[in-house]
Amino acid sequence: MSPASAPKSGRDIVAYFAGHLANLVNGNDSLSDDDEIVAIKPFSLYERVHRSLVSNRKYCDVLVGAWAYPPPNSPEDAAEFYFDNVLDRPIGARGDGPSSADNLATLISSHAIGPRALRAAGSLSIWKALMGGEPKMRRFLDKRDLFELSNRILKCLDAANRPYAEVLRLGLCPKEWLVGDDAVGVNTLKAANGFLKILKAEMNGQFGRRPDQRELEVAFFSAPIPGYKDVKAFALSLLGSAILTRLAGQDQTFLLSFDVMEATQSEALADETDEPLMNAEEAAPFLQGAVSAGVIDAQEMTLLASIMAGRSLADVMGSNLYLRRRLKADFDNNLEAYIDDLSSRTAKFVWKTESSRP
Amino acid sequence: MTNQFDKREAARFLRTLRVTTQTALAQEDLRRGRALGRPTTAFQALAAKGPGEWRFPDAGLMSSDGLVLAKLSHEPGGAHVMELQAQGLVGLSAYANRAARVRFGASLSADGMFDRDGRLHLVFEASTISDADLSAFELQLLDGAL
Repeated sequence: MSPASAPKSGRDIVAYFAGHLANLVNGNDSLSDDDEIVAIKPFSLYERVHRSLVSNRKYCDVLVGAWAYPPPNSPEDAAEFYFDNVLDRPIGARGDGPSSADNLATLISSHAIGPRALRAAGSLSIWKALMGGEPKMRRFLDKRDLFELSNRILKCLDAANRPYAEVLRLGLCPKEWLVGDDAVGVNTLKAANGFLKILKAEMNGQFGRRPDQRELEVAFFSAPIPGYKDVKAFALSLLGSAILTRLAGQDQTFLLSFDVMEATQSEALADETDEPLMNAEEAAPFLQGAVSAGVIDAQEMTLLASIMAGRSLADVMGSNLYLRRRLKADFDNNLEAYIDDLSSRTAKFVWKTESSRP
Repeated sequence: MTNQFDKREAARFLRTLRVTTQTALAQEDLRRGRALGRPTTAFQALAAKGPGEWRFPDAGLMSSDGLVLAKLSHEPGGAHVMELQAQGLVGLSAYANRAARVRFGASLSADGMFDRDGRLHLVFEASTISDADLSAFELQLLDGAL
C-alpha cells in the first residue's frame, strides 16, 4: 500500500477528533485570528459535532462505526448514540484526584468571561465540561493553549471512547452491548477482544466460517475471559455467541477491515502521560535522533518542529518548496497522509528506541 | 544520542507528537473548508446487474455523507425530474435554503436552490441526459461552508 493511500490509524482518528472538537469550541471554523472572544452556543455546537460524526467518513466508519448498526438504524442514529454514550458519558475520577473531565472543565472555566455558575454535582462528561463555562469565552489564540485544550479533550476521549471502541472491535453494535440488560463491562469486552485476536490468528484469516473446536480451545487457553470456566461456556453466552456469529457471517464487517479498529485501542498506550505537552525545544532531541537514524530528513524535522511550535500547516508548507514537492510526488498532495506518515515514522522510531533500552 | 531517551520523556514526546499533528490537521481542514466554502458530496450507484440498461433505483440514491436522498421521476413528456431531499435534522440544517449545483460528469451541470424544507427539484429534457448518466453525480453547495 502506498503511503498516500494508507488509512489513518484509529488512534490518530481519536486524536484528530479531539483536535476537531477543540477547534470547534474555539470557533476556528467561523472566526478569524483577530477575534478574541467566542460565544458558546451549545445547540449550534451540537449540530456541528453531530453533522461531523455523520458526514465525515473517518468518524462515521471508525469512531461511530455506523457499519455495526443493523437496519433500521441510520448513520444519524449511530451518531446520536455515540454522542450520548461517549461524548456525554460521565467520566469518573481515578482515586481522589480530579477526573480528566474535571481538568478539562477547569481549563474551560479559566477562559470564561463573567461570573461562573455553580457546577452541578456528579461526574462530568466531555460535553458538560466543554459547555460548563459561561456563554462567552476568551479564545485559545496561542496555538500552545489550543494544543492543551485538545490534549485535555483527548485524555477524556481516551477514557470515554474505550468501551464503545471495544464493542466495535468485536464487530458488534454498541447500542446492543453498552446499554440495557445485556450491557457488558469494559473489562469483559477487553478480554473478549484478546480472545478474538488470537482466534482470528488461529483461523489464518479464513473468516466467514465458524471456528473449529481446536481453534476455540487454543484462543481461550491463551486469552481466557473472566466469568467463564471454559470456551464452551463462553460460546454459549450471549456475547460469545454474537462474536462467533459475526465472525462466521458474510456481511459488511468483512468490507471494513478490523485493522483500523484494532489500532484504536490495542496498541500499548505509550503516550499516556499526565505530564504537560513538550515545547519545541524539549522535543528537538527526539526529532534530531530521528534524523540521525534516517527515519525522517532534515526538512521533515523542520516541519514537525514548526507544528509543535504552533505554526500553521499552511504557513510551513507554503514556505518550503522541498516539502511541497515531496507532498506532490509521494503523497499525491494529500497533506493528511503525509503528516500521518511522518508522525508514524517518528513515533515508531522513538517507541522502538525507548523499548530497546537495557 | 538515540539510546538515551528517558521513558517518561519519550511518553511526553509521543503524546505531544500525537496531539499537535492531529490538532494542526484538524485546524487546517477547517481552514480549507472555510476557504473553499463549497463542500461537495457525491452520489454513486452500485453497478446494476441485469440484462437491460441501468435504471435509476426506485428507492433513490443516498449521498455519500448520508444527508441527501436523490429520487428520479418522469414527466408525461419524458423529461427527467430529479428531487433532492435533505435527510434528518442534520441534513436539513446543512441544505435548507442553500444554493447548490449538481454536476453530471464534466459537461453537464444544473444549479438550483434547496427550499426551506430541504428539497430541490431539477428538471432535465430527456434528450439531454439518460438514466445511465445519473448513476454518478456530485452535489456542491455554492454559498458558503457546510
